[in-house]
Order: sequence, then structure tokens, then C-alpha cells
Amino acid sequence: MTHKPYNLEEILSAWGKSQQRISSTHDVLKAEILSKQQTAPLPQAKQARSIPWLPVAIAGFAVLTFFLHSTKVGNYVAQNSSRSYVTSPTGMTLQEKSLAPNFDYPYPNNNFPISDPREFLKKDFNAQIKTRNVPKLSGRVQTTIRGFDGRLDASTIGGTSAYFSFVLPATRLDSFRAEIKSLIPGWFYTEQTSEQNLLPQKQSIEQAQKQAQDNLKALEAQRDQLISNHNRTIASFKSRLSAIAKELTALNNEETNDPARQAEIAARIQQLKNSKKSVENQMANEITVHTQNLAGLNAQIQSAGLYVENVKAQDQNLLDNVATVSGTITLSRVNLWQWVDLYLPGPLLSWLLLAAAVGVYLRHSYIPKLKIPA
Amino acid sequence: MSPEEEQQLVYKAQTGDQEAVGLLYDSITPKLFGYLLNTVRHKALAEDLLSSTWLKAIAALPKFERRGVRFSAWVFAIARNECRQHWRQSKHQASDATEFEIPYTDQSHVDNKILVEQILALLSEDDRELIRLRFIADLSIKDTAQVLNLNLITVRVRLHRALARARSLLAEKL
Repeated sequence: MTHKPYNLEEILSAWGKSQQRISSTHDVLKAEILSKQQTAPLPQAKQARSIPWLPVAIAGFAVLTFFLHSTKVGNYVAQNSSRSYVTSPTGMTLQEKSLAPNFDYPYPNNNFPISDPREFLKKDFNAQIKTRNVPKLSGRVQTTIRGFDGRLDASTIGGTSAYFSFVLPATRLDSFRAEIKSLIPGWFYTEQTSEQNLLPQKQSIEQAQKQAQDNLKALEAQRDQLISNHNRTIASFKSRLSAIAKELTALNNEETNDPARQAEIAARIQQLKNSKKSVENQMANEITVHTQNLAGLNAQIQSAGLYVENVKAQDQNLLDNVATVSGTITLSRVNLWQWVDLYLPGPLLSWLLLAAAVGVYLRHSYIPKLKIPA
Repeated sequence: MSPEEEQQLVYKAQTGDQEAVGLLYDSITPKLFGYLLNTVRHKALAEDLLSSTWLKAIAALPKFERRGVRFSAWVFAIARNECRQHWRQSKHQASDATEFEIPYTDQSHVDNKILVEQILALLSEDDRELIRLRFIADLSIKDTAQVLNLNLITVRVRLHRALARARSLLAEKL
């Protein structure tokens, strides 16, 4: 025996309809209900709209402000595309986008020939960080700077802002930047790096070095010449003195009884003595003058030597400077609105309008709890 | 009666049209009384509850705002509340005692009624309530959700499960 196929819903529907009935007091109750009905006309009830126009309008405004903002930012970026410095793309304000790098040196002179292709690039690094907790992040920034062999030259830390000026080895810059970026989400971080070729300064220093070396060499040569001349002069004087002494000895040793010869010898001896005195005076004079000249030259040579050392030190300073990055990091506190504005793409106003549209729509479509009379 | 027709009658009733009230009463009362009878299983009590339900409904009619709520669903919510208040006061639950008899002329109706009654007796009270609102009161799932103050999806899932349980019980009986 096979059972008739059944449909539960049909069975229940039929059953449900069979349960519907009127009571024995149906008409009495109806009359009572009608008698209790309020007869006074009531205000027109509000009809629920089928299409939620208000949230649609608000959403439309949200989309409009979003596209207007996108167009405005696009125009600004196009106008400022010729700027040479590098920035991280974030939702920055116009003031922040116009921040210029900080040059420590005079603006480079580009009038040096291309035949010298050397680069002595001095790097500058500037970063701006937005955060909700300035003191806490300040500590981490300081630790990071020192951790990368940097030197903190100046710092100012407050509740709403902080500033750090530092230097660190150029070889550590990339890893330092990566570490600093990891401290905060990308939307809160902007940086600018700039490079300047110090080749003009290097060339000036090299030129000065050459001149200093040449000057020193010239002075040394001059000194050598002076000494040589002096020695020659002294030798000449000594030679003359020797000749005089020799002649004097010979004359003193000559024995003669001839009174004329004796008078001649005496006169000659006197003449020789006078000459000897004169030569000795000249020699003393020469020595004095030479000593003065030599001292003067030595002083000049010493000064020139110091200048050479000084220029060498400048050269080393330049090389050290190129090997060092000068940097600044600025921290500023963001309030909640700015924080949300940075996270959200597009203008905050669009998002607020969108949220309002969603809220109004939910309110419109909200099915309230049945208000049951007590 | 379609929801639009009902809404029109309610609007007229709120402006004082007695005929509209009468039509609403005639349309809803059979379902309401059937629901109350099946809930309290006592004719006199069901009539009392029917009366108190309509009196409250007519008193609160000027304040009724549709806004996604059907009038009939609202009346059934009042009726359900009246039942619960009665049970709270009498510390009594829904009784299984049958103190009324339904005259059936058709034997198949009798067979179906007995079958359904047997099945309902084996279901939980929550399942029975769902089936009463759905099949006696003839409310939509959305209206049933509003009467029971539940999420639409919750009601849909519960009803599906209740019917599944009933189906399995029915299969055992057949």
C-alpha cells in the first residue's frame, strides 16, 4: 500500500484556515468596538516614502565633493611637478607640500665644466611625522638616531610637537630611513631628501692647496738660496781674511835693515790691519743681515706650512661633510579629525556625508518595534 | 485583504470612518479568534482576550503609525501580549486541554486536524507559536518577526526548522 504523497504546508494552510472562526460574541463585540471608536477627525498620518530621497541626495553630495577634491589635487600636482625635491605621497596639506629643503651651503655654482665629472654629494634629510603621542615617539626617534651612529645636535620636545636636528653617516641613511618609517603608518609620514654636489668647494680647496704648496716650495727655495748666498759671501770674506792674515804673517816674518823697506812694511801692515777690520765688519754685518733674513723666511715658511695644513684640514672637512647626512625630524600631534582624515582617502567631508547618507537610509528603513498599548 | 487595502482602511478608521473599522474587524477577527483559541484552548478565555485585544487596539488606533508595520500584525502583537499578561497573572502556561470542539463536515478535514494536532503536541511551544502566527493568523514572515520582536532571518530559520521537525514527525505517523 502506498501512501498518498503529502505537502505539509498545504496541510498546515488548510488546518490554519479551518481554525479561523468568529466568536459567539462577534456582533456584540463589534458594536462595542464601533461605539468606542473616536469620531473626531485626526490629523493626516504621514505616509512613508518608498524612495529614500534624502539619503540619495546626501550620498550624491558625498560623491560630488570627492570628485571635486580629486580634480583639485590633480591640478595642484600638475602645477608643482617641476619641484626638484622628493616627497612621500600622502594626504598632505598645501602648506606641507610647499616645504623647501634646508641648504647649509651657498646655492651651488653650476659653472664648472662637465670635464670634471666628480660628485661630492652632500645629503640633507628632513622628515615630518604626525602622531597621537609626541613624547613617546620622541623617545623612539632619539634612540633610533643614536642607534644608527648618529649624533643628536639639538632637540626640543613638547606635548604637541618635537624637533630633532642630527647628523649621521651617509652610509647609514637608507637603513635609518627604513627604521624611522617603520615607527608610524605611512599616511603619517612625509620626508624630503636633497643632495648638493660640493665639487665647486672641492675645486676651490684643491686650488688653494696647490697655491699653498707652491708658495711653500718657493719660500723654501728662497731660503735655500739665501743660505747659499750667505755661505758664499762668508766664504769670500774668510778667503780675504785668510789672504790678509797670510800677508801679515809674511810681512811680520820679513827681516830687513832697510829703513825704507821697514817703513813700507809697517805701512802695509797697517793697511792690512785696516782691511782685515773692514772685512771682519762686513762679515759680521753679513751674518747679522743673513740671520734676520733667514728668521723672516723661516717665519714665512712656517706660516705657509700652517696654511697648507689648514687647507688640508678643509679638504678633510669637506670629505667628512659629504660622508655625513644632516637631518631634521619634526613631530606634531594630530587630533582625532586629522587622524581620521589622514587614514581615509579623499576628503573627510565626503566620508562624513556618506556616513550621514547611510545613517539616514537606515533610519528611513528602520522598522520600529511594535508599540503595544499597555 | 491586501496590505494596501488594509492600510487604506486603517487610514480611514483613524479619521473616524466607522465602516472602515467594521471591515477591519470582520477581516481580522476570525484569524484572531482562531489564534487565541488555539493558544489558550479555552473558548470563554479566548473571547475575553479577543475583547480586551480589540478594545486596546481601538483605543490606541489614533496613535498607530504604519511605517513598515501592518495593522493586523499590530493587533496580533496586542493579542499575544494579552495572553502573556493573563498567564503571568494566573501563573498558568498554555494548556493542552481542549475545551472546544470544532465541527467538521469533511472527514479529510477531521483527519488533517487530528494529524496536525498530534504533530503540534510534539513540538515546542515556540514552534507552535510560529505555526499559529503563520498559518492561522496568516501573517507573512516579516509580520511574524515583528509580532515576535525577532530578526527576519531568525524567524525564517526557526520556521524552516519547525516545519522540518513537523515533516519528520508527519513522516513517522504516515
